[in-house]
Amino acid sequence: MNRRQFLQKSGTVSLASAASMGCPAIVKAYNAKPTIKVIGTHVTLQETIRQQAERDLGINIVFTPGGDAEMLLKASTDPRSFDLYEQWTDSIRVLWQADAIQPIEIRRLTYWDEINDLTKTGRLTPKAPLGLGDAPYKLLYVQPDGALGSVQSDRVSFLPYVHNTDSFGYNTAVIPKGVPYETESWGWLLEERHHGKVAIVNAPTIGLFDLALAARARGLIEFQDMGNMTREEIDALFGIVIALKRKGHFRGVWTSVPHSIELMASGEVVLQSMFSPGVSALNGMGIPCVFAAPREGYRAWHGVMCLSRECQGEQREAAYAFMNWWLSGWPGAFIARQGYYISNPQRSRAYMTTSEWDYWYEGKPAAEPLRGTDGRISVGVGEIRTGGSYLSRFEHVAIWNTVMDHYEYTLTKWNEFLLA
Amino acid sequence: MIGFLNRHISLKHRIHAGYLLAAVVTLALIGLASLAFRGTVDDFNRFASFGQQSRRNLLVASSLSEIQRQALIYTYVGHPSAAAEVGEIRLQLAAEIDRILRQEQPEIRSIAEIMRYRLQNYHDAFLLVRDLRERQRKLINADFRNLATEAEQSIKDLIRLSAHNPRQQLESQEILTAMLLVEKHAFRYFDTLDATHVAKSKQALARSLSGLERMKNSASPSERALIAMAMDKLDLYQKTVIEAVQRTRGYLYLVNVVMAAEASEMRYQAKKLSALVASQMSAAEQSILSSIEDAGSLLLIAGIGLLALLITVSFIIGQSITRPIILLAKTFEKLSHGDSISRIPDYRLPDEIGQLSRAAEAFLSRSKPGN
Repeated sequence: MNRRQFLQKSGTVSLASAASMGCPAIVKAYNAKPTIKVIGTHVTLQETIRQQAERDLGINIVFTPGGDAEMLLKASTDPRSFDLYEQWTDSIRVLWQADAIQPIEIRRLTYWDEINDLTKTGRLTPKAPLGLGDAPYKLLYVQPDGALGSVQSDRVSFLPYVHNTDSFGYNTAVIPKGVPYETESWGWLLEERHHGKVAIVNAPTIGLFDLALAARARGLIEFQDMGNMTREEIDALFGIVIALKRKGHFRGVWTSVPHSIELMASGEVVLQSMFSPGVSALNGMGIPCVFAAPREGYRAWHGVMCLSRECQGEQREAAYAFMNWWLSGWPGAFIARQGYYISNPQRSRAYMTTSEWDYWYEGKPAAEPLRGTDGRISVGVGEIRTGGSYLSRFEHVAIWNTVMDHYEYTLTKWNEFLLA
Repeated sequence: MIGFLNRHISLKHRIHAGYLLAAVVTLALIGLASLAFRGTVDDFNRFASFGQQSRRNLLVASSLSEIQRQALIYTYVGHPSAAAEVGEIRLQLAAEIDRILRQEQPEIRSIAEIMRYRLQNYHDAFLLVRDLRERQRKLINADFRNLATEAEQSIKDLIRLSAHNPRQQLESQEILTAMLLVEKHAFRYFDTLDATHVAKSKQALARSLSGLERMKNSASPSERALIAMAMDKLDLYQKTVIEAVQRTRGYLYLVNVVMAAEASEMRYQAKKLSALVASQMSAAEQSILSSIEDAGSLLLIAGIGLLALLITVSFIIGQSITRPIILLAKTFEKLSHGDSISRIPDYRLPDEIGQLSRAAEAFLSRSKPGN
């Protein structure tokens, strides 16, 4: 899709509404080609996306991808270093507390009404659980007192867009394939039969919950609120996992998706926390890795796009245009091919084949070989996405990635766990 | 064989051949022993090299624990000596890893490569920790205190200026108290790392700002200027607190998550290396035992064989010497008893026994009747 097509399909409305809202800067922006600085992670800061957005919007975009913590530190201490920040909901509290981001005006989001209820009210279907921890809807709206909350207002702290559910991956050449939502369990991570062959993602706001879900599934611990553990609960949880680590139960932790792939491909690990692209890559290498659908539910995550406190004038207009572009269809279809969902999927459907939509969103068997974002075939005919459809997966959310109140304390315990 | 020797090899040559054979057998035994133990010596050298490797691995493992301990001391206590110690240990570790990298075995080299890469990551993260820690220290010890003092001074000036207005004075006192709470909670956060103090500090700051905002409406122009100055200072103060908090979180994450993971991975690789060296040591030990057994067997068999050969040849040579002498002696014995002897036993070689035989032949000829 080129810029002309983009403007025809969605920008007409956008430009008309922008003009009516008295935003002449966007018109100027198209002529002067302003540059926006976007910082975030490799998950969304991909070169294909940048080039497509530049073509469609006629602006310059500089992507600076990096590690989660590195980017969060940069954004929270230097709002001048970025115009848009792309990461996860677990960074929102930090950014908001640091006054590093400004509220986003809903009236300027072209596709706001199309965004589904997952972010707006917390669930896609009435029977879906809200999930523990920082569910995105709890942090979405800017309240009159400046705090973040779930009561609807005309300003939001982030643009809802990419999201997914995560769990653990296991090698079915070693571990017999389980039944999704029935026999597959987080408890497997702590089972004695996998001694020495287990790895965890090296991120306390993520890996900690994988361990907590595993320990609870094994009946080793109970939490008052797993999404915001007390110090005593944190101590008890780490007591369990540190004892196991000392016995050599864990191979270690992984720090990047390629590292997770390497660990399972080498055979050092047969079961570990995983992200969707890692599972796809292993399958592409012929390693039968299954992304489990644990009976206890998934650990979900939600991407956020935030506007820097320092982003003003022309850059702000371009930043809003970029945010609207993300929900205009093509980007949602692009990231669907790596297993991620978009907050207004129906608009992306037009950019996907029926087979792609059926496989990625409906949980149906692939009617034809499907290609990933790299153009290589990542799904064979007849394959079914583990966990089923989009609705089914988000009906099984146990917890959201969260920065808990005792975040700093969990860091010291994490250190103890790593070096045990 | 004996007849052959007596017919073709002189006495002297036979005796020399005996000695020569003994020397050859001795040399052969020495050579065999040397060959048999050459492999064992190589194995011993490898074994000694594995021992050194094990010592290096132990050193690496203990250094890894120590480097992270020093990094934590620097992070939580701020001792510059601990930061310097991290640098020292890192250099020692790098040198040890480089020594391991000089090993020829690809398996060991690949593990050492991983360790070198991890150590570099660890050090890069530590440099960031040091920057963040130093910046945080400056923020807390200088910027933070200066801004707090300046903001407090503005409020105190306001209190002095509003001496005529007890209500405004009271409000200013409340703002001052709220500002002290900002400082108290901020320092409590840095002491305890309990994030609830950050929220409390922010709340107190918001109270100070809203109090100043309220006062602005009823203030005189000179008071307004002071209020505006105080608000500017408070805004900067707030930014400084937030930056210090974020930098604290940043270096805590780096040391507890990033560096700890790198140290953990290096320790895993060091253990893997130790296990590999231990298995190779065990294989070398087996090889040495097996070599010694093989060498012993070879020496025993070869020794028995060579000794048998030496005994046989010595017997033959001995017989070849003694047999003609015994025959001559028997002949002379018969002569001494007056028995008639037709001829002296045949011995044709021109050696000492031949000379004796020929002399006996001459003696016999002269002693025959008719001569």
